[in-house]
Order: sequence, then structure tokens, then C-alpha cells
Amino acid sequence: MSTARLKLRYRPAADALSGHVRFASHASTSVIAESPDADTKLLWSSEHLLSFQIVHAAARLVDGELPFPREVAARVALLITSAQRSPTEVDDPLTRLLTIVEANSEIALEDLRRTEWPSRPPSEPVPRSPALVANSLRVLADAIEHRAVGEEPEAIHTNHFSRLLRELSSTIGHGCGEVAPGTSAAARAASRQGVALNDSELAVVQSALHELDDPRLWPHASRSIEQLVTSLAK
Amino acid sequence: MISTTPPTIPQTVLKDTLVNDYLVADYAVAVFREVMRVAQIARQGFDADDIAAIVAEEVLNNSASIMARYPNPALYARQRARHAGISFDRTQRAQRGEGVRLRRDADGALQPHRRYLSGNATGANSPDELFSFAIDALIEFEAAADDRLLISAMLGSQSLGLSADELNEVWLIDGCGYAVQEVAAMRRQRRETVSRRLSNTRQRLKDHRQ
Repeated sequence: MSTARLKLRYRPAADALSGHVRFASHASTSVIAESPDADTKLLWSSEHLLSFQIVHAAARLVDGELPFPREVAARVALLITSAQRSPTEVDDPLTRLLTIVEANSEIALEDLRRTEWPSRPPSEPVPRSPALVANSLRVLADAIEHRAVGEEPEAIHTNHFSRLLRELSSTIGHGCGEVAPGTSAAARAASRQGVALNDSELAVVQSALHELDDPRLWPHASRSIEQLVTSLAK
Repeated sequence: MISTTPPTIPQTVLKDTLVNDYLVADYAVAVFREVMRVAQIARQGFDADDIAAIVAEEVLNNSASIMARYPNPALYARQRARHAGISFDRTQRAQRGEGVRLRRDADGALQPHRRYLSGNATGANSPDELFSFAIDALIEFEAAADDRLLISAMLGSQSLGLSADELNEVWLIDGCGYAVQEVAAMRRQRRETVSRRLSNTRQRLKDHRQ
């Protein structure tokens, strides 16, 4: 059975993952670059996965499947889980940021082939209004951040959450308005850490963040967020 | 339209050092991710995260001035990503050109490599192994001194009057596979200085062979 070398590189601090496949004897004629969303880049060599880069990989893993062939996704999950369970605590932010967890393994060519998953991006673009969504998210981030916060951990979590909302706003609003499922997953995860929102407000935010993964639901998500901002201002 | 008003960081939060440190780290990580997004659009390599790490490291080293000028990390990241990519490529090219030896890993990826040669290796047409003249610890002092003089004379005649530093640099870079940058750091000199001297030495050796 023909195999290739799969090299995975994960940076836990930034939750950023890269992967690269080295074929033993593979004369690649064409490389197809795919960006299914703003957080993901995939390179295919004919029908085999060649390399990939993804931000907010762990957050996305918690939320569902990563857009790789199944065997690759399983190995990525193992790497990320191992990195997160590592008992080493590093205080220096620079060291933490530069920490890399790597894994090299043999993988069958068949396991790199795209079958039904990940699905190809739709050929017809969905009409979307990124500016509106981006603005709503930014206003929500401001409103949440300016809310009175009490205990210190809640202040930190609230700041982190509002920064992720701004990152989501900026990512969606930049360029041609791609969805950012990794960033929205990270924002949902951050919202569960204990932020300055009550349960019903949190439910609205989480529902809106889910809707932002589908451009067809953006208008509804924008309205929900705007209503929430209005109620937060009262 | 998207408002370009930068988000403000509440002063009450900034007063607390712990929270401030956390904000800086959060900002650097946000820069990292945005650089990676931008770099992965333009590049097809495996290096977007390396470029992102360079920019994020700059942020951590100059956090106060960068965060003051760019409250929005995404804006800073987009400003820096292109130039950081160009600098990264330039560094990689320079290191390859200056003698970093690369070897293939088991997976075929190229990695910097230290190439250590056998101590008694000589050129193809050399009659004897150079280090066969090495001094035996048991021989008499005078004989040892004669041998040492002989070796020095041979090295002097073969090294075209190159200084010990020049010889050492060629040996480290072309023989052992050190990068010019690493040798420059050993010498506490600028990379450009060592690189210029190395080119000159290589040219002299090349001229001599012709």
C-alpha cells in the first residue's frame, strides 16, 4: 500500500494548526488551493491533500469535524488533545507563543483522498452583507466590554470574549466576507467561560454566533445582535 | 460601512497589571492569527505560522508602542504581514546562499543540517591525510615542535595567506554547515561583514584552483 509522510504542527497559544504531506514518489502536476472559509486554507494535489493551515483548530474541533479527510482529522484531534493535556505550564508569554507541538507519521494515500468530506465549496456564492454583520459584532463587543464587571476572572474572560467578537467582526468584514467558523467557535467557547452576560443574553449571543457560520442566516443574526445591544444599553 | 473607530481599552482594566499582561498576550495572539490568515492567502507553503510568529514576537517585544498606535490587532497584522513575508523569504534565501546546509528529513522536508567532516579528510588529489602529522603525545618535545612547525608551514602554504579567522569561517560555514548568521554571532560582528569576508575568501580559493 502506498504511503506518504504527514507532518502536523500545532501552536497551542494561538490555536493554529499546519499540516504538510510529503509523497515518496508523486509527480504533482497541479495544485488546487481552496479556502472554504476565512480560517482555513487547503491545498490539494489532484485528489490528495497536500497541505493545510487552520486557525482556531481546537475550538473548531470541540464544535464538530475539521474539514480534512477523516484519518487526517483523527490524527489532528489526537495531537491537539495531547497538546492541551500537557502538564507543562509556561509563564513567559513569548515562550508560550512560540511553543510548537509536532507529529510526524506515515499515512496511506487512500486516507488523504477526498471523498464526500470535506465537501467542495459551493460554485455559486451566497449573497451576503459582511459590513452589516461586522458592524453589529463590533458594537456588541463594545457593549459587552463596557459593561460593569466585578470579579477579576470575569473581567479577563469578558475582555477575551469581546476581543474574539472583534476578531470575528474584523475577519468577516475584511475582504469578500467569508464565514469564519473557527473564530465563531472560539467566541462561543469563550462565552461559556463566565462573562458579564446573564443566561438569556448568553443564549442569544450563542445562537447568533451559530448563525454566522451560514451566510444565509446573517441578516437574522445581525437583527438578533442589534436587539441584544439595545437591551444591554438599557 | 464598517466604522474605523478603534475599540477602546477601559482604563479601569489597564490599571491592573495582571489583566494588562493578559491583554498584551491576547493582542499578540490575535495578531498571530490575522497574519496567518493573510499569509495563507498569498502563500502556498508551510510557513504562514512561522511568519506569524515573527510578527507576534515583535508585538510582545514592543507591545506598548504597537498597541497604542494600533488598538485593533487585525489592522497591525495586515500592515505587517506583507513585509514580514518578504523579509522571511529574504532571510531564507540569504541563509541558503550563505551556506546553510539542508538535509532531507525522513519525511522529505528540508531542514538545516550540520555537516561534520571526518577530521582526517583531505582533497581528492592530496597525497597524505593531513592529520597523519598529528602529534603523538609520547614523542619528544623537540620532535613535537618540529611537527607543529611543519604542519603550520603546510597549512600556511595551502591556505593562500588567509588569516586564521578567514580559514575558520570557511571551515565552519562550508565544512560544518553553520549559517553565516551563527558565525557572525560567534564573532560579535554583523552578518553582512562576515558574509562579505566569506565571499572574498571563497573567491580567492576559487581563483587559486583555476
